Amino acid sequence: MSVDNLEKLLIEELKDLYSAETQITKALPKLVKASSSTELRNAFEHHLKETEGHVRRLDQIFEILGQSPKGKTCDGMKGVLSEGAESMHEAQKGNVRDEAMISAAQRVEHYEMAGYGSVRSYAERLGQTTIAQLLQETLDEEKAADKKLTEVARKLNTHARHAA
Amino acid sequence: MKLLIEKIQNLRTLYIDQARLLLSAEQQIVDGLEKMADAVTDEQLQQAFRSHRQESKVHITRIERILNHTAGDADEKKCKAVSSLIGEGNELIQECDGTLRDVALIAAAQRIEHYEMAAYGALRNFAQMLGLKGDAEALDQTLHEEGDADDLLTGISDRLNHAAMLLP
Repeated sequence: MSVDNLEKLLIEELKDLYSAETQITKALPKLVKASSSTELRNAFEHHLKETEGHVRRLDQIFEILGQSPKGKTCDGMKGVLSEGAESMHEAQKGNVRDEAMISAAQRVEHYEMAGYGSVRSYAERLGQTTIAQLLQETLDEEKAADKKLTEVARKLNTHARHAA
Repeated sequence: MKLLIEKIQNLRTLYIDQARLLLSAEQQIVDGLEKMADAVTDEQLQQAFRSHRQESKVHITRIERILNHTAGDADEKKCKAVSSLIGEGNELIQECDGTLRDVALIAAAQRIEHYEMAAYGALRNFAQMLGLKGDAEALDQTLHEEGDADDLLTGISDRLNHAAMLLP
């Protein structure tokens, strides 16, 4: 038993998210490359830039806390990403692969939404207002990215129907 | 070199593939929630995990029905993502105790809920695109139940986070 107060839990969960974000910055370029739709490629490229910003925000938070962000691997994200990669490779390039990637990316987004939601409320409880605010900004961007992907998925489907 | 096998060639096979993954996810969650319910101390949280476990069994029946009529069988495909999410929860059980464990397990459970929300959202959209109206309705119902379970956990965590802050 090593985590015995809310601040330690906050730090643990932030390290988990730092590892998750780092993994995502490595995965997104692959999604960009594999996208057939220009709109989807743009969405992934945009989110890659945003994700790099999320890493910087976490760096800033760790600085405030006087802690190192390193030393933890987020196994949850590893599992979500490897499942997504598998589905991407199994799906035929084109519309179906795009749909498969969108659904994989939305699983990633949702993992982050849950993760950031938790740490944001721990930070609030601990009176760490600046940290809570930074986490809220990232949380909002993750939610927006998820919505954007739903929109792209719907458009892809409409195009596919017209093409058929 | 890894051989690339593109087994999924259209939206319908993608739909079936993802339904199989969700079936495996739900089966693992039914087991995982039992362990989590046993590990927590707060009664309301324990109750929430137990009742969601019952709900998850209903979700399994819904997916089995969908698979039976679209694929002709209800075989699952191992969902590695949920295995790793449950693994993270188990790790937290080892690392924390008491109220803090409760708080940590809520966070773990919410990651699982969110995984399911994303997965069911995608699956429901696929059902709509494929014109499978009945499937889309059933999946939408599950999606709402996952959302409600997530909201309930947020409510409990507001109370428990406060208690955790008061820990020495």
